[in-house]
Order: sequence, then C-alpha cells, then structure tokens
Amino acid sequence: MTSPLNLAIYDLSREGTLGFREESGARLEEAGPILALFGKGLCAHYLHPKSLHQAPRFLSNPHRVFPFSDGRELYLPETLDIFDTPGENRLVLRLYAAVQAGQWEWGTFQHPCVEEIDGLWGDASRLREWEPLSWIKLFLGRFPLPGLAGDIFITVETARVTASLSRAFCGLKADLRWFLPRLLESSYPHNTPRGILWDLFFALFGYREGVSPVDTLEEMVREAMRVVQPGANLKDSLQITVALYPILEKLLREARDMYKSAFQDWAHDLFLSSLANQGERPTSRHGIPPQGSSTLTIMEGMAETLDGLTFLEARLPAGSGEFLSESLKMEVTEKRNAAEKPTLKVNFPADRAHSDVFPELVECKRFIYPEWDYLRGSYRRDWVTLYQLEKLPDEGGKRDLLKGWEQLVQEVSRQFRMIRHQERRWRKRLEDGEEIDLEEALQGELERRSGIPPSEKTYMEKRRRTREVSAFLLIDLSASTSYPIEEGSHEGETVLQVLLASGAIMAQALEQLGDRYCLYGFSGYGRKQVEVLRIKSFSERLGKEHLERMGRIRSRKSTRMGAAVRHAHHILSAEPASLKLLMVLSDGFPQDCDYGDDRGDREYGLQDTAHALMEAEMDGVVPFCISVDSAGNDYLRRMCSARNYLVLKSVGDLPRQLPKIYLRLRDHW
Amino acid sequence: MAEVEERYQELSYREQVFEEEPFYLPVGDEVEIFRSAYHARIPVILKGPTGCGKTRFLEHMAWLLGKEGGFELPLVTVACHEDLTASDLVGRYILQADHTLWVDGPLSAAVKEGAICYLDEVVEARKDTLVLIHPLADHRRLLPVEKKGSVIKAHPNFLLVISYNPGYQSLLKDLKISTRQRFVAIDFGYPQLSLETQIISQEAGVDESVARNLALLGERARNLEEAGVENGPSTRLLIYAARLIGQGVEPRRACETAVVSAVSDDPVVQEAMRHLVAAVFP
Repeated sequence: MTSPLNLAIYDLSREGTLGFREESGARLEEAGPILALFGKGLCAHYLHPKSLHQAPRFLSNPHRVFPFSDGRELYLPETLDIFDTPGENRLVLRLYAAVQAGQWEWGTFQHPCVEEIDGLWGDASRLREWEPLSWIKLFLGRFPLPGLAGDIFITVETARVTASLSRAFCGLKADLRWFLPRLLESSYPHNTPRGILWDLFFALFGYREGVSPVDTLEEMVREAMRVVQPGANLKDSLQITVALYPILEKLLREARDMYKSAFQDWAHDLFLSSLANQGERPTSRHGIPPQGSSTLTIMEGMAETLDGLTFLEARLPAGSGEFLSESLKMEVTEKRNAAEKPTLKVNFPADRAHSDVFPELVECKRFIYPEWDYLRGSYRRDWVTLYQLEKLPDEGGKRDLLKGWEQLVQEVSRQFRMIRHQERRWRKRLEDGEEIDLEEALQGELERRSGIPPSEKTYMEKRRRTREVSAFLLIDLSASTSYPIEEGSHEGETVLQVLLASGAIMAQALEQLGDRYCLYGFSGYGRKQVEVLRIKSFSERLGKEHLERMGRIRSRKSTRMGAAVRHAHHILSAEPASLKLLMVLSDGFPQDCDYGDDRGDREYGLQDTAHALMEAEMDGVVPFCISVDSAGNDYLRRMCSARNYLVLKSVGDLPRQLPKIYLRLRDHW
Repeated sequence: MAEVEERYQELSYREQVFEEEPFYLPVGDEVEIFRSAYHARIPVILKGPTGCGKTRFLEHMAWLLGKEGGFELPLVTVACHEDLTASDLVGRYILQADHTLWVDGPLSAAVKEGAICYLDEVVEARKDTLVLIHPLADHRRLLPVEKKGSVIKAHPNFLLVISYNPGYQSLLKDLKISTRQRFVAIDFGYPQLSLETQIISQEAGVDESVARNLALLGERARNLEEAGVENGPSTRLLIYAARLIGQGVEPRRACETAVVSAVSDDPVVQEAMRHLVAAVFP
C-alpha cells in the first residue's frame, strides 16, 4: 500500500530528471550536503546523503512513509519536483532528513550489552559493533518471517521517532501536518500486511482513512498507541513488534496462496538474514512458518527476554571488519616492537618482501607516520609508510607543461617582481625611525590641543618589509587527475596537467619574489606505500630540469592525503621562516583502498586529513587547501576552517588564481 | 543643547559602577568561585566562546561584590587588540602649552581606584605588552610605570580579570605559560536549554515558548561546530533574534537576520541553518 505521491517521490528518483524544473525542484547533488548538515545539527551525527535507490529495500521502499536510516546514511530522493513551490519540495526533504536524523536523537541505535543477549538468540559475537543496526538485525532475524517483523518494527519505530520530533520541534510538527494528509490522499487500497502497516502509521497520528479491516487495525492501534506517547523508547517499539507480529502473520496465513511470493520475500530478507541464524528459525517449504502455537511460543519467549534487557546509548565505535582485524594485529605487533620503534623513521632500509613488490621504492627514503582513526578516537601509531621519491618509476615522455600558458607566466612573473620592489617603501606610524612623519606629527599636535592623548607613532622609515616565507606546494597526483577538462581554452588537457602547470607558474613567480618554496606531489596505494615525489626542494633554485621533470609526471594511484600533509609538515618544521605556508592542490576528497572501513567511506580519510592539517596549524604552519572539485565544499568545510580552503569552479581557473591566493595568504598572515 | 546633553552619559573609568543588579543566571558554581578568588585577590581568567555571558557575569560580580563589601567596585574594561601598547594600558605624558601632563591609562586608573580591570580578548594583545601585567598578577600586586620610573601598589579592592576564547582565536595566538599560570580559570560554555530559555526570556522580554524555541535553535545549530562552522550562534545572538521577534518581526525572518546570516557566509551552512530554523519555528 502506498499513495501516488509516495510513488512519485520514488519514481522520480528512478526515472531521472525528465521534466525537472530547476526553479522549483531539488536535486540530491545540491540538497544532500545541506540536509546532511541539517541532520548533523538536529542530532549531532553526520549522515552521508545517498539516493533512495541506493538504500536496501528493507530500509527504504515506496510502501513506507519515510525511509529508515542505517545510522550512517541519509536516504533522500535523487530529485524532488512534485510540488509547485521550492519551499514545499524543501519541506519534504527536510522531513525525510529530520526523521532519519531523529533516529539517533531518540535512541533507535541503542543496544543491549552483548553479554546480556549472548546465547539467548544465537551467537552474539557475530554482532558487528560498528554497524548501528547490527543488534536490531539480530533481533528481527529471530522471527519466523524476518522481513515481516522488520516491516512492523520500522513502521512502529518511525512512528515513535516522528511523534517525538513533532513534540520537540514546532516547525517540524507543522511540516508533518502539511505533508501527511497529502501523502494519504488517494492511497491505493490493498488489504495486505504492508497496507495495514501503512494505515497503522497514519492511524497512530489520528488519520483513520485507510481501507484495512477495521477490527484488525483497531487491535493493532490499541497495541501500538503507546509508541507515540511521550517517553516511549526503543524497547516499546520492539515489544510492540513482538505483539503485532502474530496478528499480521495470521492474516498472511489466511491468504497464504495469494501471498506466496511475499512469504518468500519476508522469510529470506537478504538484509536481515546476514546475521540471523537461519537454521534455528522454524520455517518450512516456501518459507512459510509451521502452523500452530510455535509462533506464539517464540513471541512469548522474545517478549520475556526483552523485558529483562537494559539498553545502552549507541555510539559509532572503533574499527570494523577486515580493517579492524588488521589494526588489532598491528597493535599486537606494535606492542612487541614498541621499544625499538621510533615515531618517525628516516632512511629505514626497505624490507626484502616489500622491495619485491615495489622494486622502485628500495632506494628511496622511507618515513613512518601515525594516522588518526576517528572511530577509535585515537592515533594508529606507526601506521603509514611513506616513500619520498626523487623520480617516478613510470614517467611519461617529455611534454611542454607551460604550452598555452606563456602569457600568464609573463604576467604573473612581472606582478611578483613588482611586489618585490614595492616592498621597499616608507613604513609610517613608527615609534622610532629615520624621519619624522609630518602627517602623524601634525595629527598628534591637533589631538594634543584638543586634550586627547596623542599618538607617539610619529616617525617613518624606508626599509624592505621582507617576509621570511617558506611555501610548500603539495600537488595531488592521484588517478582521478587523469580526466580531461571539458571547458575553457585548455579543454582536453588533463586535470593533472593543469595542476602541474599551476605549480610551474607559481614556481617561476616565486623565483621573482625571492620567497623560499618547494614543490612536491603525492599519491600511493595503501598505507604501506604512500608516495611523495620531490619535484623541487627548498634549497634548490628552479631550473629547466625541474620543469622537465614536472612535464613527465603522469597520474598515479590514490589520495592518502593525511600522510602527505604530515610529511609536508615534517619538512616545513625544519624551515626557520616566520611564515610557513602549506598549499595543497587537489581534485577530490582523500581516498585510498584501506583508508577507512571501505573504499567508499569518506569519513575516515576526511577526519585523518583534518587532523593532519590541524597538527600542522598547531605547529605554526598555515595550511591552505585548494580543490578543483566542484563538490569540494562538502568535505573541505569539514577538514579545515573556512579561511583555510578554496574551491574553484573551473579547473582552468587554477593557474590564474593560485598566485593571487598565495599573495593574499602571504599578506594576511 | 541641554536636551542633547541629557541623552547620553559620559563616564570616566572610575565611574563605571553598577547601581542596579545586572541580570545574570549562574550556570554552575562560577559566582562562588569568583567571590572566593576576589576575596583571596587571585586574578581570574574567564574562558569561553563569544557571547556566552563572560562580560555580563563580570558586571554582575562587580555589582554583587561591591554590594556585599559595602563599597563601590567599578569595572574598567579594555578591549585588547594587536596594536595595544604598554602606554595604552599604563598611561603616557601628553604635551600641554608649557609643560607635560601624565595621563593614566585604564589599568593604572583601575589599580589606583580599586576597580576590577577586565582585559577582554587578551590574546589579541602583543605578548610584550602582556608581560607588563605579570607583577600585578602575582603576590606583589605592583604595576611598574616605566616612563615615570615608579611602581604603583594596587588598591586592596583591585582585581585583574582577563578573558579569551580558546576556540576561535588562532592556534598561533595563545597565552604564554608564564602569563596563564598567574590566574585561576573559570570555564564558560553556552548554558543548557532550560537556562538559556530563561536568559533569553528575561533579556528580551519575550514569552517562554519563543525563548525556548530560540534556545533549541541555538543548541542544535551549535552541533554544526564540528562540521565546519567556526562558532555556533551565541546566547547574545539568540537574544537579538528574540528582541526582533519582540518588535514584531516574523520569527523565521528574525532568525535569518540575527542568526543565519550572522553565523556563517557559507551558502550551504546558511541553508542548513535555515532548515533548522524552519524545524523550530512553524
């Protein structure tokens, strides 16, 4: 059971953007980051926006009033252009985000102690602590038809969270009053368990317009009504799930032929059965549970067990899966070798096994760095191995990096040269100096005659305002930079070519200005093989060979940015300058094969890089990230403060903008 | 002319005495701690984010301690900045027609008159300027006046108080250990929902439901501080929003002006905050 409006929300997400109206509609691409922040504000947890069709069917389907979050993702329509005004479309998205974020606020992800449930419902050691719904899945997996139990639980739990939101937030209450009646309009009449659950949700909020059998619905509303009362908690939702399950299972049994396929779906829900102990569930052919008193007996047992459980606050704890196993192994090794392992190692001879795999790394300098694991809330010591290369093993052919940028090179070099001369100018308002500053002296006399304490800064001096600057340019060489740009006069060139050209233009300009600077690139694959390529060191003067080396660089592997930033910080820490700038040029978010739970998990890399940047800042380095990724705002704002990053809309703007950014940073700090 | 003069008051440092009780709602034991520190003449650091009530707390304490002690206890406030020199604090000679005249700075005035001297956002001041307060902030309670070649022994009622916000100020700017360890520290945060509701209601004169919604908005918007927003809305901003509402401005519009635009210039953050406002105000 659903309604045309609900289907429209889902259909649009599947059928693309046909007929999408920019003026009134909302796209996930733009609205997602906003609503993720809104959710973070609402519940203090950041949920990653994803489209509805990326959600497991168990969590989100058109038969539900709202999608259900797994505690990590925020499921939203890919596009929403159903209502005439942008405000109405935004309202629906706000409700979707609020209800899912509300699951954290109102304890959906609470769980009992593992010790309490171990042995009761199978082997609790299979629970994955890092998965917020892990325990719920284990619980629902104990039902003869887990999918049906899941549908009941999600309906009831969503009603509980929605009611709590409505009580706490007057604005959301008004939003719900607007949205729910519209969602109910012209509901498709289906006298099925899903239809009854749809009607149940609305009945709990006082909308009794469904077509479900009155007796059944009344009985269910009586059982479930307490879930929308103040003070209802997760345990109430679970107990109500246990109470409602036999009612719906009975309904199914009475029309078993009609619902044969539904039986199969509910008995073998892939999402739930991952943790359920299938062998212990009483099922028969076609997944239909045996008749008789067995269901009631199971329900009684589960209700009794639930009564005795104490629920704990949920959290997103340390490590997970393969990643966790590996980290635990590492810790053991670390403890064994703790005495002989310094935090940072330089010129450590490469081990034989590693050199067999990566022969090009044998002769280069090796550094060991820690990494921040936000899940554990601590550093992984000696976690990343970084190799500093002098040249890349698979360099490409010679290429003129600055072809097409000649005029800009001249402009920028001239500008930087002028700045060098301008820096030798009169400095005014000094307490001591070469000459009297007549303007200030006159002003002081006027102040004195007016009875105001005059300024003592009446001298001036002509001296060069030399800034002792050391600038570190760190360029992302990851594989994603191999894509060609699609606009502007340099269309067809790869992102990497533009990044490197920007670096080369900056280098030429800095030679004119006289600031110390160096150029490095970074990439790598996995925590054992982060590569940093030294293009030009602080002590070298820019020469033809450096530009040629840059011209031969090709896109490499992944983006383990945290380690590269720590390495830059390490090199900068040896610099005596009063201003140490670290400029990171990249085209995307930090990502590597083992940079977090899985490759798609952005949070780990993001948090690690944020920590690496913060470590540098605490040490007096001024970090500044420049991204040519149009979605860069979404993650950069979480990696560093607003004054420490910039997102360029077009890659082609970088060579022109980079010198301006550099000068702004140099003057500001 | 007389009418114009009546519209404003110009007070010298020593005249900044609170005759009426400045409203302050204690969050914890900060009143007792400060009172004890004052009686023991131990300098105090107030740490906390902008707009959380540090200055108001000090005004309240100046009034309270003066009332309890049966004397006038002025509060001399200096907003610190990077160009603040020792002369700006201590005083300087100014030229008159045929002689020079010494003019006390605010710190000297407070030391002589027995006031509370409040150096607001002290880390903004240059480190060499701050060293000046060292002999004043330990057992000696002396203010050296280099230009006069003298020292001033502080009045018994004098107390030095400094404040800073460890959050937004640059990590590069921090107090020297030798300065920091001359003070006892009182940490301020934003008050909890119920307290902040009372504060907003009292300060802006709005009914409790409006005040509660604004406090709720503040509480939730501060969750964004971990997501790239440097500072969530302060209690002060929420009070401004409440005052606008009290003047008849529609609540969402008042929040847009006083909270959303004031907190961030980032369009994404602003839009997320607009959603929060809409979640709170129908």
